[in-house]
Amino acid sequence: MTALPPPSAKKLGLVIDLDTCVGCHACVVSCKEWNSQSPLGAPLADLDAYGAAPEGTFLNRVHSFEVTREAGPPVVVHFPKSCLHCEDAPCVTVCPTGASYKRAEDGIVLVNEDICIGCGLCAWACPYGAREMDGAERVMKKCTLCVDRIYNETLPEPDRVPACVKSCPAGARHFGDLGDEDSAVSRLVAEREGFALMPDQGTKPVNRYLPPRPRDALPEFDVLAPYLEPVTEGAGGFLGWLDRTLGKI
Amino acid sequence: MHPAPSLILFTVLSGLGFGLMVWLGFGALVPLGWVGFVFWALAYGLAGGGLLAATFHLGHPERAWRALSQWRTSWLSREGVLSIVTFAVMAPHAAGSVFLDRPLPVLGALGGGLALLTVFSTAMIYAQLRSVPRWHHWTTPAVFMLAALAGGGLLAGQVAAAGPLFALLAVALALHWHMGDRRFAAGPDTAESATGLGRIGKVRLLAPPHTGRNYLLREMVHVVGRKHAARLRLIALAAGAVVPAVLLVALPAGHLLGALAVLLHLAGMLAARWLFFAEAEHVVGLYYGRR
Amino acid sequence: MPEGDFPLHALTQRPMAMYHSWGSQNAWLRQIHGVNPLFVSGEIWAEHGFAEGDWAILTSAHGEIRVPVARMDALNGKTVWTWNAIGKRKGAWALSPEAPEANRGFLLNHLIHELLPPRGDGLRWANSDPVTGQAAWYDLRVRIRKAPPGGPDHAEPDFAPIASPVPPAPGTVRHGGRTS
Repeated sequence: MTALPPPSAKKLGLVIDLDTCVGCHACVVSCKEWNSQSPLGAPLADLDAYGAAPEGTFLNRVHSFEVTREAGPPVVVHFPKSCLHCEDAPCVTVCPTGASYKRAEDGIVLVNEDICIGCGLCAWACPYGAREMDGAERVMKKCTLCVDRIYNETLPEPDRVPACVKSCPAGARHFGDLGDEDSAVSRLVAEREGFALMPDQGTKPVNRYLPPRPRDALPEFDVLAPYLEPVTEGAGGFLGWLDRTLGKI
Repeated sequence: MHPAPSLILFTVLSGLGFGLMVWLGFGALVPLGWVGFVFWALAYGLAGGGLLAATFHLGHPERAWRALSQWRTSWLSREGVLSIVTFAVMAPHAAGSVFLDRPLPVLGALGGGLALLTVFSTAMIYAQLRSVPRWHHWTTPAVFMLAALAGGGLLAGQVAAAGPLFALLAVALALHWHMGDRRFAAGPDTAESATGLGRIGKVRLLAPPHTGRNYLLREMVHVVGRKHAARLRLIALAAGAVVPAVLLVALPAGHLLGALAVLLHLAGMLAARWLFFAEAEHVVGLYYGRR
Repeated sequence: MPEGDFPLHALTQRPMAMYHSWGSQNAWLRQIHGVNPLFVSGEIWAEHGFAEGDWAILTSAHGEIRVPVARMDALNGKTVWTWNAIGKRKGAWALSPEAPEANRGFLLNHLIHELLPPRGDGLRWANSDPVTGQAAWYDLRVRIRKAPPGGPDHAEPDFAPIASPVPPAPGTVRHGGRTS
């Protein structure tokens, strides 16, 4: 049923730290890898894979933005984007078949590929570009929050997080219950003033983004200058010997 | 948005067919026998043909019947249900008129109302999308319904009514374009709100997430051919509404003239519907530095 | 080398994403990085009047290449850079000759001589790091100008396709998972 369930107490989602994301695309690749082998759905295809215009399905993609500031040099921000598992998910209510649904128990937005007719209306309704129609399977694909990992008791406990979170080498992706004010992710959002994307679309996303921290301003050089004096000057022992010997060469 | 031929044909043809059904249903004309057969075949043919065209847009047309289930929330589902109900309710009236010379005006009027509601729900599939500011406005159902009523009236030979309806359609189209051109820029969604980075400064895409193509860009950031928009608008406005209106009002009615007006209107509406899709900008373009 | 002739440093680095697979020309990664523009600072962009989609001629003491440019304001005005090893010769890696890598991808290699200039002992040393053998990318100095309009829609130099030693690659790739 594509009617949205009443807001769940548990709101599973991601918190993405734009301060630490280095733009390596590891989450993009691990997401595609996990979701291609998952028994939950069809693999994510790549059309014209080695040709002139390759076009594949990805559930998570990393944009790179450049932000021009009023003071200081422009900054580059790498920006991963996947389904935000919105509370008021417009992609769910437009679905004519009931294939798109939001889980009442944890708020995860999913697609039942077996009854998806591939009309594409849900992708149109999503302001974030989180849904992609698979070119080979002709059904809608989206982030499942790795629902087949996070509850998967055959996996060791530390692996019961979404593949993108597990693979991030920078620790820029956090998974947890954003409905619980005391959860680690909720505290992170509170501490770092995490925000939602396109709030004016009225979708109430669960996922939050943490802003880049303010950049250090360059200090006056003479503040550091004393520390930049050669450390071996007048030094004895091995370092002194090394310094004198190297100086002679 | 990608102007898929299947969707252009669907909205134009089914709009025309259901528009004709409105006039036939409310008894503006009650053709009987063979004449009735021609009119009803045209109405069912256009409406059904349009719906058939829409299934070509589906990844899995064999599952199309599933689209009838979610009428509580989905305008697309409502559209499907309403078209079938309209077809069914209208059928006894149509069959009675054609085969028994016995029209059933109550069912006809009910069917006429349902036909109009069907066109409205078609328009709402698009107008409901807040993610496409150009569509998310009352001018969208206004254009769809006036096009159906004017085009249907023309097909039904209702010259006196169709003339003014074409004039209204012209106004609605002009408003849809004029107001739509400003809505995205005037709206709250920007690259800054899309990324939340507005708190730091002005946001600009440095590198897209992939240098290759993707579904999102093809489907929702379709910018090909927009440079012809101004010329196409003139063609759409003239052929779709203004010239038919003038022809109907100024010249004596006749089948030849009517046919000419129908063909002009059809061509104009195809152009208008191409523009409806091609000019519509999706907010996801903000993540790609394009609209 | 007089700085005035070649006022800019040209750098490359391998995109991080490309390290997710060492195996071969990867169907996923080539969608992320299928072409590589030359990133230039806002100052250079304005100075040469570049616009989106423009091409530039990049010249070193050794050679000249024609490449697509992109603006990057966060870059200093004395440096241009691009992703390395995206550009491919036509036919390489069993890619289609129309592949973006073979048309809008490019390498700085054509600007770097394999040998250092003669030193007077009659020998020319390899232009590479004596320990690792890596070419000395960070020594490269260049100058840039806007490419005259009307050029081809591919990077230059542009070599004839090479024959692939392996059969043509498949069109659609899917692996794993459930297929219905």
